[in-house]
Amino acid sequence: MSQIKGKPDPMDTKALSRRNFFKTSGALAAAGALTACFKRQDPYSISQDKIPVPGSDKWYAGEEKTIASSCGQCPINCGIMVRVVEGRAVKINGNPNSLLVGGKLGPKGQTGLFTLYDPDRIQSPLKRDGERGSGKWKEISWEEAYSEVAAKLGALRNNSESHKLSVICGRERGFMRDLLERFCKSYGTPNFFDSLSTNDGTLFEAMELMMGSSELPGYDAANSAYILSLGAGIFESTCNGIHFARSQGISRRENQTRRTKIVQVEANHSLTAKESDEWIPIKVGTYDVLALGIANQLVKANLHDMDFINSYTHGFDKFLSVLEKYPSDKVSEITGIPEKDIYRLTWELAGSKPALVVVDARSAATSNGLEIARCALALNALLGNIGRPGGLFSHKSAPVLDWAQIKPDTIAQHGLQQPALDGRGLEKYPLANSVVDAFPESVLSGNPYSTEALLIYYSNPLYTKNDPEQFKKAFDKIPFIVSFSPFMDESTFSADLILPDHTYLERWEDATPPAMGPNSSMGIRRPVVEPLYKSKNTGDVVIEIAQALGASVGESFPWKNFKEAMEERMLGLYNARNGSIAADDPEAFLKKLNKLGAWNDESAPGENFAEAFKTPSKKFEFYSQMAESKIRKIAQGKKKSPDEYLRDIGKPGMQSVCLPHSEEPTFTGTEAEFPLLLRPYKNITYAIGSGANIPYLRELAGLQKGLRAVESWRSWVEVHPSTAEKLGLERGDEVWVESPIGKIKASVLPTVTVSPSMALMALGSGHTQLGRFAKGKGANPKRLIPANIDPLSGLSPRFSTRVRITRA
Amino acid sequence: MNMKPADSTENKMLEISEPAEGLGRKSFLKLLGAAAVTGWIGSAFGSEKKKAPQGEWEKVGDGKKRKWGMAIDLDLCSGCGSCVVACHVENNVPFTGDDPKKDGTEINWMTLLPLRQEGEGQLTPLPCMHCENPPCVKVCPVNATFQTEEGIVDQIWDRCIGCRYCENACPYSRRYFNWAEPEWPETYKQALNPDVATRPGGVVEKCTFCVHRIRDLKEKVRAEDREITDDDVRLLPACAQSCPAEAIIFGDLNDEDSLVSRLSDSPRANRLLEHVGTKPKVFYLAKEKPIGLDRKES
Repeated sequence: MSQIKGKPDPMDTKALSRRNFFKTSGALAAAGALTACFKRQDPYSISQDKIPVPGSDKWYAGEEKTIASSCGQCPINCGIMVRVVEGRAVKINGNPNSLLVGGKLGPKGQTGLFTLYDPDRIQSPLKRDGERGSGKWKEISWEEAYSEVAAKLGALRNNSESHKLSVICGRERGFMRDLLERFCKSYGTPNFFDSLSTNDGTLFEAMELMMGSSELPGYDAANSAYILSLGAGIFESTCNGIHFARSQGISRRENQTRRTKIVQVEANHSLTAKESDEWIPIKVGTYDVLALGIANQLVKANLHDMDFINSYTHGFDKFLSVLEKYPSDKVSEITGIPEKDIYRLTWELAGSKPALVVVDARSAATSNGLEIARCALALNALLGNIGRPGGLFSHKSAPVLDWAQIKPDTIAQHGLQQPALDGRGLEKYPLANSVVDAFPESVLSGNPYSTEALLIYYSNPLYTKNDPEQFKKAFDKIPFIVSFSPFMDESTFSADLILPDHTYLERWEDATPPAMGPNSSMGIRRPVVEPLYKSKNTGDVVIEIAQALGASVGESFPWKNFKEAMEERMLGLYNARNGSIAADDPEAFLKKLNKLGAWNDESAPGENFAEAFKTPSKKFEFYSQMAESKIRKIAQGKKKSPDEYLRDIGKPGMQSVCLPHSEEPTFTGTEAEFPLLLRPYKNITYAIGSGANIPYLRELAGLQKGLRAVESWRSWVEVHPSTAEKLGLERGDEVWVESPIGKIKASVLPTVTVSPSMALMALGSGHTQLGRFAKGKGANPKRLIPANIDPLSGLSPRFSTRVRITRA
Repeated sequence: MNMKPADSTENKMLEISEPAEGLGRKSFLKLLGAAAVTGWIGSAFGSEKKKAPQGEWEKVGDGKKRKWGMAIDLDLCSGCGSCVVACHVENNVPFTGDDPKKDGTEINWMTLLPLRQEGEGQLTPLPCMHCENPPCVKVCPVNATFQTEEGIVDQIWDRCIGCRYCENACPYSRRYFNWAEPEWPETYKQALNPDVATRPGGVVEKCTFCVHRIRDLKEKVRAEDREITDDDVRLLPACAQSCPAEAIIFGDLNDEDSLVSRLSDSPRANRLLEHVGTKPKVFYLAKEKPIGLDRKES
């Protein structure tokens, strides 16, 4: 057999390729019946030889490689190993070097191949050719695309209207987010929007207020002795659910002396509740009251960690005054949890060290989400479980370098001085850093100014945001919209220009992981196959556009391409010299990093709390000084007392707002008219919709609910059998789910695990675009949810509306 | 078809009558009917004639050759579905799609047993049990499905005539009939695993314990001039490799020191439908109390 040769002639159907030969002979060897059918290749097997692959001439027949990279299917950035055969990616496994996954990989990551090989990817830059929404596009070259964007954005800048550009970025972390923010600063617009997955935002904000961190809390679950989960979907929807599953695997498998007890407090008997050791039902959205009730009992019984509190916290005495308002009988009445269970939870938490109180986006999905997140963090602090093994950590970011400071020119400075569109940090949303849900309102009202151009990166607000219709209207008013999506999603469909990105298996990028316990790590994402189409790394595209714009914008982007910009920052890891990769010179370091796919620093975290807490007091703040100063400043500007101002926006006084307190969750609609609470949830497979175009994930989501494969492509609404009986409905009946702002069709799935007061709907289906596997399958529950933005946090809660169900 | 010697038909019926005691009458008749209709027995059957002592706890391995088996720890499993997707991708298992015509035709070599309506049980990963006494092999009229000497119940797709006897015979419903030639979009075909043949329409397909990976491993250890160790195989199948909690462990049941064999000795270990005498080689480690498909009956 010849060693290095090109692919066999596709016309020569008789050619027995090396691979097919092995395939056939292998099967036969296993069968031990080599004589049976040795003479032919399996005629039914789909042969890959006829499928053209870009760059296949660089591979010899049968050549196989395993390339380390990082997953991009969700924001976690797990390390992956991709098996590539003759230039085709054929399997994705976990990367053993990655601390996040340690060689494992969740279902989303496994299906990355179908993101890469999606049949409906956008194959080249497209320009709208017809009315918006007509779906008529014209292919253009990259040069045309650059000049078009540069002309539009250049004109805005020349008119000193740079602030009329908005950027919506769906990445929570990483260099691409930084690059786009840098672009905004050097171009001169304050309107950089983080399109946070709606309710992670509450956690980000709580962490910022209490610990001065800009990341999610990092739970060291594997080393905890006791986990109290306040409605967190730790085995389902938590952003690092796979990490949790793995931690529990490690702890239950390898820890012979004790078993981590997991207690799930939640209204529904969810999958997480099932996997936990105990399930305690609770009234909807009252986790904050429970946390404060337990905190009160802890303090009363003198079980709190006074050493930690004295040395590392601020405002404990003020917090005590809040706690007094939560005696156990009152807490029991509000939460519906018997008093004896509250006492028991208190003693269990205090008695098992280290114990962890976990919240996530699912816990904090109600209108009082910020309070829930803050109360849970406060409870962790009372237990002294912050920054200790088995506890909660603030993010220990990898020591990457920063890019050189930008020097905005006068135009940019003028633009940056304008107030942001959404009123972040102003009287409307005093504590918010970015209020993407307020974007449509500002655009539609043209207040404080009009929006002339919009760039969308990794975000699909026309589908994922609450009340997406509002976004649609806003989009219609913006004259120039550019999308970087490689898929024709709803937002991209409404754009004027599409500059398709590579998928994550075709591009260079960093893979900055979220907070994860005491360790810090960094991953790298690299092309594992040749780009299939004429797409381009958006990092490169942004640099090109910036350079075409020139002036301070161009100067801020001095790199040849994004890879160069990325490597510049990665050298910080080399300089730190304490991680898992040792090298003699920077070049060798980068080479090793590319080969291994991940860099880790597992050095003992120590208890360097001065570094951990970046709050004004450099301590954990029960009483948030940051909130206080922000509110004071705004109130002064309005010539009101802080209490008056807060009352105006419907919040309790200053003392309460700066401290963790409880608020009653609010729901749109009256109970008489809309008897059920709509609980939209993220399932583990396609989250809020980005994986809905992958058939395997759709069918897995159904499988987990006991649905047949065909059924799982529809939308279903889960209700308690008693609810279904009351409404005279049976499994599979078509119904309207109706909220005060809209109605959608779904089929009924009676499920005993659902609380009788609720209707559950999985997010992610009901796309009107996004390719053949997502378009028109099911209905989008977000259409039922009004924006209802919380004035303090600026976030739009997901679990905030009532619905009624009627037969369709 | 009645060209085969009469005695082999009798052998066949004797062979199945042993474990059939535990089966329902219907299943028994099903098996019997299958044997009678075909009246033909392949030569590959004779090798496994060990009789299963009913209701007695017995290891499946004979202590000589390797017997591949699996242990699934339900205490660790969180029902994430990684194993299901890993299996689909590794073994080129087609998805079903939303066409109402295709209702009920899904193929899941590895599946999740749903939660019971009463809220009992949990999502349970369900691969082929690779029975040591496999009812499916006994009914196959064309010897398309067979048991390897290492205990894997494998199948030659090309030989299958699609009669679906095996699908009926399997008490665990672990066999799926391929109703039509799988339809992938042209681009998806690039992601097909070249190590595993795709199946044509009209054949029955099933989990193979990733036999192709075992084969590759054998080639590898031969090249390295060493024996297969437990570490090599512990996470060998795609499902075990992907499981975040390492709930799925693979290995040699005849090797007393292998992890899977130790787990199978655990007091938490049990097998599904043990009383029907199939001697499955997949062991479940119970969460609290032993669970199984047959909990109600026992």
